[in-house]
Amino acid sequence: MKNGVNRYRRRITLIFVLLILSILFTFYAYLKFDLKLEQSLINLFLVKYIWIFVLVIISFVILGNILMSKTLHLFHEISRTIQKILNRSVTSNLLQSAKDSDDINIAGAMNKLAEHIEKQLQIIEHNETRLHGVLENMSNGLLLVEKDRKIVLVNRAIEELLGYATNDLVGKRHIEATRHSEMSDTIEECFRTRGKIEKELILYYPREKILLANFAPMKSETNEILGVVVILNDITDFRKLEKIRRDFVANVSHELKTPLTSIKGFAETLLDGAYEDNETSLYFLNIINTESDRLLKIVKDLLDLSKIESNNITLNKEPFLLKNLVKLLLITLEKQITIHQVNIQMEMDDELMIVADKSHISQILINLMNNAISYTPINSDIVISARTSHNFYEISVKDNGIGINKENLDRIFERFYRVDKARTREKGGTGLGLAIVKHLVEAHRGNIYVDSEIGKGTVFTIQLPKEK
Amino acid sequence: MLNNRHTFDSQLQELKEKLLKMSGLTEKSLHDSVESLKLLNVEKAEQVIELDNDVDQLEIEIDEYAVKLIATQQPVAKDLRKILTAIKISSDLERIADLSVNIARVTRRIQGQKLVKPLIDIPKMTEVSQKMLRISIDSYINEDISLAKQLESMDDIIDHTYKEILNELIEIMRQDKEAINQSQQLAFVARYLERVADHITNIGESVIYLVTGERKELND
Repeated sequence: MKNGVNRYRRRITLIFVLLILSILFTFYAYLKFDLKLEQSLINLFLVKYIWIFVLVIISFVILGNILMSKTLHLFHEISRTIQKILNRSVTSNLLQSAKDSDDINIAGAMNKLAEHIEKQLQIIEHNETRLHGVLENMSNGLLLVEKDRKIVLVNRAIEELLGYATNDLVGKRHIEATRHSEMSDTIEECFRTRGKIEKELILYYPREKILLANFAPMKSETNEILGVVVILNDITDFRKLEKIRRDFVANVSHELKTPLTSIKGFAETLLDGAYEDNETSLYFLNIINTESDRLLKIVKDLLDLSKIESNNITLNKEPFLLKNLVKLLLITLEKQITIHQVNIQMEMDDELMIVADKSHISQILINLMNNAISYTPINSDIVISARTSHNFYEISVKDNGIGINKENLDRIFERFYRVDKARTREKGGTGLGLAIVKHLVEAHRGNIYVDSEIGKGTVFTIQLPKEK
Repeated sequence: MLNNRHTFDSQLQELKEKLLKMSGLTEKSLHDSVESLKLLNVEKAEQVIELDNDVDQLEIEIDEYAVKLIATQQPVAKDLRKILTAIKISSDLERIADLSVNIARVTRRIQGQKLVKPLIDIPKMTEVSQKMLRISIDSYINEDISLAKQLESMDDIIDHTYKEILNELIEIMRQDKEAINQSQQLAFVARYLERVADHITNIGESVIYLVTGERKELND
């Protein structure tokens, strides 16, 4: 390659030297004859010889041009190829225009270079696509801050977390982009301490979010700090679940403690001497009995619930007439119906046949009817209706009782959630009824809906899919 | 000379960053104060009250830094406006943080009581205010007047909600004498939030002044 270029250079130099020599020679001859000859002789000389010199010059120029043009053509090709490489459309056609061995050498080298660059570019592009794919599909938000404190890289997840588009983040100083003083302080701390930091941050905008943030220094081979990588992990839902679990444990303990306290209290009073009085002890024992029943009920409900939740239940599906089942349930609930003096109506086809787990459906209906009876004033109506469509059964229990307000409506299926704490306990509920209903319906792959208006009443509707 | 300009630019940037830090803290205290009220969480309320010290400290820092810049660099035109705006915005932010403290104090005052009504409009008002605060600071960072002008219509929403809350609370007080005390406190909270929004529109006005050099009223 180097050899080839040198030879071109020599060729061009030679042409120039010859050109200059011929001009000098002409000039010299002219001057010399001017001094020694008569005007006519000079003229004669000019006529006779100058044409030779002119011819020599012209032939050199032409020769030079031919040689040069070949070289120029090759340079032109090279520059075009370089342009093509830059434009990423490399085709190795350089060889076609190369004629002698030097040209072929250069062209070959250029082609190799082009191929090499193309390969490198492909590798870089491939890596970039890979990196981009990883970053964009990461569920965690990522932010890279360089030494000048400007953000140079973000991914899509962070846009969602911070509520700003990539364009608004990249190129900005970190405090301008995050607008979070604690996050910015920690980024600075990470630059200073050059160590990893992990902490929980709370975002306030656009929504409240709890983030687990990891700050890691990015170092060069010489251990110089180049930037800080921030990875944000949204743990809001996780924290919420944790809270539900904590609440549940607290609720269970509270619900179990209430009947136990009164059992223990009355038992102690009896032991202290109240047992001697027959009437009092009978009264106390009755209370103890009722409270232990309640305790038993809670424990039973809890066990049911955990059994349903652990997905260990087997559905014994069988066909049965819904109306017969409801009639049977009404007999079980007769005592409550008489106490609350409610009027129960059934709106369903006598022949309506349902294929489902009979015991589960009875538990669902008992719980729903129990609620309807308990939260309805005396002399009101409860309507149990059912209908069927081509792919599901729909059963609803409607009352015209006190109703539930909107804020509570989303939460009534939570365990131990009570709209009015004092009243529910007074009615003897365990706070688990609707949670059980919901889980049983879900075990049947069905859905439950509730619609309610304060003072007007509540409708619970369950939809169960039909067997295919 | 060029070097001098460079130093001055980085000093202005530092001033801006101090202000952004302050706005971050203010945002936190506004959010947490209403959150503490919603959940009746006194602990959170105490944190808001404590956080106010940091905000106050930052305001002093910004003031001193601004004075130092004016004294040493003797800025003119936009540079001078940049510094003046920083002082004004920091004082608005400080007021917003103070109002948040007032809201947190309400939480402390009504602790142990049940809320007379579930808080729906007050958090809604807070949400709008928080959005306004973001927009005002965005407009400051990008020196974007069109953003600042958005604040005007948002402030109208705040004023409207404020009136609605007042009417609702008056109705509650009329019906239930027991609820008067707490309803009055909640009315104060609504008033504080309305003031917060006013301070935010002030920030918007400062930004318009910064960019154009002209004064424009955003709330009337």
